Amino acid sequence: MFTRRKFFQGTLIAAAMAVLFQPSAFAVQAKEQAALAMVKSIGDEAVATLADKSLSETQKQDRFEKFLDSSFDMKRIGRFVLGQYWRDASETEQTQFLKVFRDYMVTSYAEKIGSYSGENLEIKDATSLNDKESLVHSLITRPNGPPIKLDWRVRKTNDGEKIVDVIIEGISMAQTHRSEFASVVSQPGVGVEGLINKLKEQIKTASN
Amino acid sequence: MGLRSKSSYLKAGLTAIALLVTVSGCATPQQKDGKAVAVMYNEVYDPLEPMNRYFFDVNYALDALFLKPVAEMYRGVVPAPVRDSVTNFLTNLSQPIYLINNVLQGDLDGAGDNMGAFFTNTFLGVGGLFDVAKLNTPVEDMGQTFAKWGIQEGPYLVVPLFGPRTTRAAVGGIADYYLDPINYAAKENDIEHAGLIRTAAHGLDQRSRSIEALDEIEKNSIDFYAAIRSLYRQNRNNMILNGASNSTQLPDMSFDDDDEPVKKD
Repeated sequence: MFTRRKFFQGTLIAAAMAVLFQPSAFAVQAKEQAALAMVKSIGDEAVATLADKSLSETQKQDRFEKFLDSSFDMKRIGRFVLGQYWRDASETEQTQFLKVFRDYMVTSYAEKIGSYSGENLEIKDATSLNDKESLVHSLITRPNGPPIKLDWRVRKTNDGEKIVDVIIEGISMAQTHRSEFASVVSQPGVGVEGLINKLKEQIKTASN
Repeated sequence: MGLRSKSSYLKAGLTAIALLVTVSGCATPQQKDGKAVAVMYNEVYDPLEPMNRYFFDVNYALDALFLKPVAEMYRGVVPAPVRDSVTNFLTNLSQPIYLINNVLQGDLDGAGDNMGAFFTNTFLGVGGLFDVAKLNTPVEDMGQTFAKWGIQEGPYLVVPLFGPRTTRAAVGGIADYYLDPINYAAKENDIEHAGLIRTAAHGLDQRSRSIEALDEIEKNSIDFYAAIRSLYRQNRNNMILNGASNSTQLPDMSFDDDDEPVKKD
């Protein structure tokens, strides 16, 4: 009898635990679900836009710019890629940098849009990174060649879910830009102002 | 070949490993300014930057003069199926050293795939010209094995002719050469310059498949050297993890301490 009572007690405790921990587990899942839904919707939209033959190249680029502004947390990404130099920069430099960085992203990635050739985005699942961020895993399947692994780092913000990084085959775009910018800023006599000028030059030559 | 030369290979290999351990020991990050230095170390450890930039420029010039034009010609003249067969053949020759490294890393499933791919493609795929097994075996080298063993990556290097390497990967590459059964088989059969030809063919194969990607990185970067350095190191880490998504790799992107740090698992 004794063991049976113990068994009952055990069941009760387990049930109580389940009830207690369910809400938080549910909340965590909700965050990942929201991230997943967000990437799914933009993925569908992106593939539809790219495959739409009635749109001109400029129209596609306009849509890409809108997509960048609405789906990415550009301020956070900009601050991240400037790294330790964000604090050194004056407020004007910070605002200037954010603007130039956004334009730089547009020009660097815009021409990739033109090279679209029937790839498909297959969204898999999401894992939690911390209490605000999730990683959404997806695959770009190509007509020829093995699929490419693409992960989206999505963060819960006051304006809803925003993308803060894109990780292609384990290579973080934010990390790559940060590393490159740090190297430029730390060169003697360059600084944040020099970086801004270099980015401006880059945008000019790329858009010609 | 005699027993003596075999033992001298072993000696060279052991010396290389000893050198690596010494170098990686010297390369422990300095904790002078506390956190900032440690973080910078995680991003990049490049104490030889001026020399590396010099060799980067030398390699860039050599590439522009020789490798890239030859790679473009190769791609323009040789039809795609033949080029695929070259890739398949070179990958098949690498399966034995991949297998050795998978065993040394304790990845027996990976080693089994290498074994299966090697025998299937050698016998059913006409000496490795066709990938019949379709096992998509990832590249495994001594640099990755050293990483699995916990050896630090050491300073970043740009090796003349060969390009970017971590010190760990550079020493690993030498170790791979002396461990690779294919190189011994070539020696036994008196095939001259086998290693050189294989390396050159591998370089050409790789270069011909990365023309657009590299051009684009160069075009969009404001510091090509730093961009390549970051991409190389991230790609190496991805190879060491065999592509498994790992959140510990991702940097923290919260600035206001308003959330927990990235979960380390």
